[in-house]
Amino acid sequence: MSTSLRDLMAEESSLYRDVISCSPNAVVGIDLDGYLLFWNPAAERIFGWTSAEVVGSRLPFVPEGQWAEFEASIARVEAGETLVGVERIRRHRDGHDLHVRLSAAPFRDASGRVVGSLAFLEDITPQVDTVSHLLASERRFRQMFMSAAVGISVTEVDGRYREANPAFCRLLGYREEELRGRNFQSITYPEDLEETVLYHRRLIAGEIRSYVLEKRYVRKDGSLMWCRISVTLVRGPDDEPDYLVAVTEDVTKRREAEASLRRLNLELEQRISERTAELERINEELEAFTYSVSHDLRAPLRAIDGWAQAVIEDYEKVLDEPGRRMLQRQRAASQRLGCLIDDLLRLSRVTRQSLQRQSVDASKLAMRVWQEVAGNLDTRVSAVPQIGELPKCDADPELLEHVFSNLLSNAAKFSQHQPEPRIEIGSIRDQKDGPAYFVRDNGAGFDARYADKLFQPFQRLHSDREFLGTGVGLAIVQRVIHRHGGRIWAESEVGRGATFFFTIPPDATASP
Amino acid sequence: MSKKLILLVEDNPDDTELTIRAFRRHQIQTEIVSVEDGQQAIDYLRGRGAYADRDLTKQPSLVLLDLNLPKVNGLDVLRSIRSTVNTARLPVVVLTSSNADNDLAKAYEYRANSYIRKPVDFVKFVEAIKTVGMYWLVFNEPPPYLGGDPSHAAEAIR
Repeated sequence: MSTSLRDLMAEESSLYRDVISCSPNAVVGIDLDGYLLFWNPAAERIFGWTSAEVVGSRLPFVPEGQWAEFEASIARVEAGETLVGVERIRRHRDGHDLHVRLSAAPFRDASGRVVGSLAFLEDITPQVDTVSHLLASERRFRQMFMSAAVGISVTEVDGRYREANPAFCRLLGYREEELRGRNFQSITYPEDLEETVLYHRRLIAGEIRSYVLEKRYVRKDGSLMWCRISVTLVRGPDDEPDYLVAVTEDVTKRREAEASLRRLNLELEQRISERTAELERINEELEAFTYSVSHDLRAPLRAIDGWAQAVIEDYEKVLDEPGRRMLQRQRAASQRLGCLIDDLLRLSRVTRQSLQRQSVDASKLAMRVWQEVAGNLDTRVSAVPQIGELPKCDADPELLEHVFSNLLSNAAKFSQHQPEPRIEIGSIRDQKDGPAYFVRDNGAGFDARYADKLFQPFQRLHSDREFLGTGVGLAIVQRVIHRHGGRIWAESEVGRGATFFFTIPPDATASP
Repeated sequence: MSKKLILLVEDNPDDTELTIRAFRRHQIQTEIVSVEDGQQAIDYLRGRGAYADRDLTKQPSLVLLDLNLPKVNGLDVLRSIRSTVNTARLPVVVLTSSNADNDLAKAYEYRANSYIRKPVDFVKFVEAIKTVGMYWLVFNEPPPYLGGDPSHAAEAIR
């Protein structure tokens, strides 16, 4: 029987043979006993065996376990049935499985008797692999969609929900089926709807490819939620808008934090402006107070002094020496109070008046101030200060004058009892603040333990009996130095003179 | 020669008396008219109110003007003096306890002739009064047309 098939094959025209040889699909023929009669070049290529190796043997490519199914199929074909497009697994010569799509038909001789079967096998392994990849990928994406922490939703072009992942449902409190009956317009907070719809239209119109927006949704329970949504339009194969994908994050906490920060800032600004107004009011009051101190306190003082003097003058004959002395002491006290008031005014003025910084030649300024101070001194001071070469500085000359004036007056005052009073003005380089000026004397000095009290108003380290003073001078000096951003400090030992150092750093606010 | 006239505008009676006393001590021959507030000062100079019967041909040679005054304050008195034709050239010396920068600036802006801050020390105060009196009443040449016919003065100023 097999011979007859082979003969038949041989009898067929060369056209059929050529077609079979050129077919991209494997063409395989077997006789009724299952022996391979025919194995075309495509079969060689697909399954790895050459025709010479397999023709005459049993089919090599049926995997173990597939024989029963194979035999059944062969039986059906030999009974006259034709199989079309059946998918099967076959084996390559090197052992790996191939997916094939198989068609088989009975082979008949001239009398119409079935003498064997002919099969066409197409290797569809690549397609099958692609599909299984696609399925795996689909599974992966579905997994991602289902378990994502952010809300993901797919809507129709008109806004109706097509799909929503569990995170999105959790955010909004709706079940997915409930969302399918709604559109994004119906669950957007009305105040934010206009903006959302505007973006949506521009997306559909193709003006933008995607948008990111922070907006509020109304949850199923009616509460509001701030969300950051990123929406992308997906177009179909015809390039028409197909659906929209939105990724939604809950940003309510952040928005609340921002809002409370804004509220806090607003409150702070409010408080600052209130404080400023209060400060301005206090400043005005201080101004009025200063004026009143200046005017109203001095007038009665002048009367006290004036009338005491009037008594001394008009009742010269009646007054005895102690009486006259008492009145003189009254006058001295009122004059001292006058000086105190003047110093206080100076202190307050030094604090309030605006700083007019300019380049100052400190040597010249110190020299001029010394001449003034020396002219005003009650006791003659023989010491002419040694004034070294002083660096220039950016300072308010009027205020710097107060500094030198107070320090030099003090130096002269506290060294007046020395047999050889010495005053020195100079400068050193301070490591921290650059040049530091100093005023040094060889006078009474002070106990370094009290150095911190020196610059406080009304703090005095000497009695009036020793040295006259109001205790305001160094407070003025310190305020001037501080207003220039500088430092002041003093070194001394009792009976061994004192040195006052101060720095005037460059103006930090000056424009370059 | 008739005594020179000084208008002293001062609300503090102690200061008024001490100022008069200071002039007396230096035997500067003056007639001192003192008023207690700014309104009285303006009335006196214009011959109004309580001073309606005053002889306006006799105007002061010097006005000593305190600044902190009841009713009309010193700076407003000064402005009024300068803006009134027959007192516009009056020598005005501000004599005050204030040395507020603002007061100083305003006083000069309104053309005060001098600004003296009253010292607390009475001896220094007497010294200051003496100097002011000597300067303005003895050495200084008074401006023309003062104390004359107001219409005359108006003409001169125009």
